[in-house]
Amino acid sequence: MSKSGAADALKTFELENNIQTIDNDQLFKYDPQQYQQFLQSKPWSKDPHYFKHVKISAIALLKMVMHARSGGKLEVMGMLMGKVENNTMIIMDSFALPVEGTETRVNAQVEAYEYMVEYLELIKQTGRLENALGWYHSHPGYGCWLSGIDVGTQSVNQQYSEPWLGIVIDPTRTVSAGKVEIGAFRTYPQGYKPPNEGPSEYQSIPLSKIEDFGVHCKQYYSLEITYFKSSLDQQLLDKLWNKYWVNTLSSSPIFSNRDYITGQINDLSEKLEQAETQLSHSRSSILDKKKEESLLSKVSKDSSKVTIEQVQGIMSQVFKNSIFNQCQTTKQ
Amino acid sequence: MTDTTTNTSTTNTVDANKLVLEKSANSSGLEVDLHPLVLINISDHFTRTKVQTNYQNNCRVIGVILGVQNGRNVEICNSFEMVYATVDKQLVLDTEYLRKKYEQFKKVFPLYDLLGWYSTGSQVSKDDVLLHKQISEHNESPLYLMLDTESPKSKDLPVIIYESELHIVNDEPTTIFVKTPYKIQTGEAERIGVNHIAKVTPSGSEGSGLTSHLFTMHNAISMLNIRVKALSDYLQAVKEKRLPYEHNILRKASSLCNQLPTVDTHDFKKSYLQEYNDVLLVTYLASITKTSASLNDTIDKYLVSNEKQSKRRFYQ
Repeated sequence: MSKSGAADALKTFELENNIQTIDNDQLFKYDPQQYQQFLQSKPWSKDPHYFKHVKISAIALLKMVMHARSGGKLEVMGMLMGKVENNTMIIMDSFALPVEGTETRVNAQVEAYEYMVEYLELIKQTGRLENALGWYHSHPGYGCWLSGIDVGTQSVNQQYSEPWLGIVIDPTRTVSAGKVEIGAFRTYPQGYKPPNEGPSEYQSIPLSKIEDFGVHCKQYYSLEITYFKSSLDQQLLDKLWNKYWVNTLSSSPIFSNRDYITGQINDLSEKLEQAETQLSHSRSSILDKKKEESLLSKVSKDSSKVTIEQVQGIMSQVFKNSIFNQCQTTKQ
Repeated sequence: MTDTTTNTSTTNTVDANKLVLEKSANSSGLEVDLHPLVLINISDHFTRTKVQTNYQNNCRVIGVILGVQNGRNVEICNSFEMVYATVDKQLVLDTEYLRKKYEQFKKVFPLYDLLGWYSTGSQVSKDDVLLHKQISEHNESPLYLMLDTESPKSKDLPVIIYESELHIVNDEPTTIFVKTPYKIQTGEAERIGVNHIAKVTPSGSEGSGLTSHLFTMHNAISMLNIRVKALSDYLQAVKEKRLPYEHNILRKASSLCNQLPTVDTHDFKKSYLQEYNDVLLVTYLASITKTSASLNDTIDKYLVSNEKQSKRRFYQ
């Protein structure tokens, strides 16, 4: 990339962003009266697909990602705070709950609930007016979707404390893919038949979870996520980069996530075996499964994904090797 | 936390009105790592207050910073806002709130301790000393992080971290703030998160992220290039006697050059090659899988079309 080209691109980017950031500062404002009015009107009760967009603030995203990562292989959970504007849910902040472990530990809920109430009370004192708007939890290593228990939790909350949003974040895949893996979901009311949207976007899910995913995946829909930041955030982030580039250069997704990659390869081999049995048994019924993707092509998608991440990882290593190790000293 | 050194030898040199002591290097040898999360948190706090109070200029936010301390190593990992009241024109922190909030925080992040406090502003004032004293009740020697929100267009982060020292001025113990150098520290997930919000705004899983990955790599390498160029320009200037000969800098530059190639051992080459081959193997396996998948599809299609043909023949 030529230098001037990069500078131009940056300028356009800044220009676009400046226009955006002026608006964004206004997003931080909270008008309780207007909001109450909005809540009274309950537009979401008429349309189960009412909320379509989510805006997440920089701080909320960072807090969620770091909290999820700090849990390691355990699932962690927290709450979202924010407000609603028309069909957009705006997440201003998030906070962690002292719950971790597997989904089966339901009794932790009471403790978490007490914590949440106290937290919300305390935060009101600092002049924050937003309410709890939803919850987030992590799925370390198996993708962003709602499991059966998650669907249950979400739909109960949607009945009693609307508007309510569920966010799932995958810290392991975030590190492995080099971008934030996040999904925002809302469930449909019971008995509601979503319009047939055709097969949803494919995502790779480990074999052990695939049944759970398949059974419930038609009971909720995902919302489109965008992010916003204040003008001060933008300034700080720009300046941060000056101190930051070293970390970018020194990081390596291959090394920090070895367990996960091995797990992925393991999962792939299991899926392949399953595909093999399916293929050898179902030769006769090819005509029936025209619409569904075959298992084998799914596995091939998964394996491509793993490969892409691996190649990305080794690419950074190759760059670094050629920069720092293959320099030759010119003898004088 | 930091040693409060009662430094009597400098008694006379310290100006009674001065609150900040300028030193070239900090004497306590404290190493401070700062996480970007804290910066964004303070910025968020400030922006929210600013917008909520309709852009009054003098709004100021106060909070505490939390993190891990390990010997002389301090890592500032998180922060939360504080409630304060103005009593007799003095800022008084709400200790009850702090205690409760801190307790809550401990439940989620048991390793983090209270390290000090933060505020927005551009200069240390008398109020700050009083606030610092209030925080001292919770941590023996707190740090003070100041974020300048009206930052001039400098390239550096508008953040200053102070530690306090106790000096005797006019026979009275006085708290003096001393600037402490700090480094930006990030975890892997945090780095990706920051990159995500700093650059890419649209979400979704379109594409493999290869472009953004290469783009950040490109940025980092060009940054390195700029630094190296600056260094080489300087050396060139010294060589041509346009700049004075400074042994200290030259020594550092020389040691930097001597570090190249960075890792050139047999072991490194071996594991590097192994890693490389592993990736190649994965790529190979993935292409085999893909090939067999498409082959399978083709055979399926062939069978379907063939079946139809044979049926047609049968009916004819």
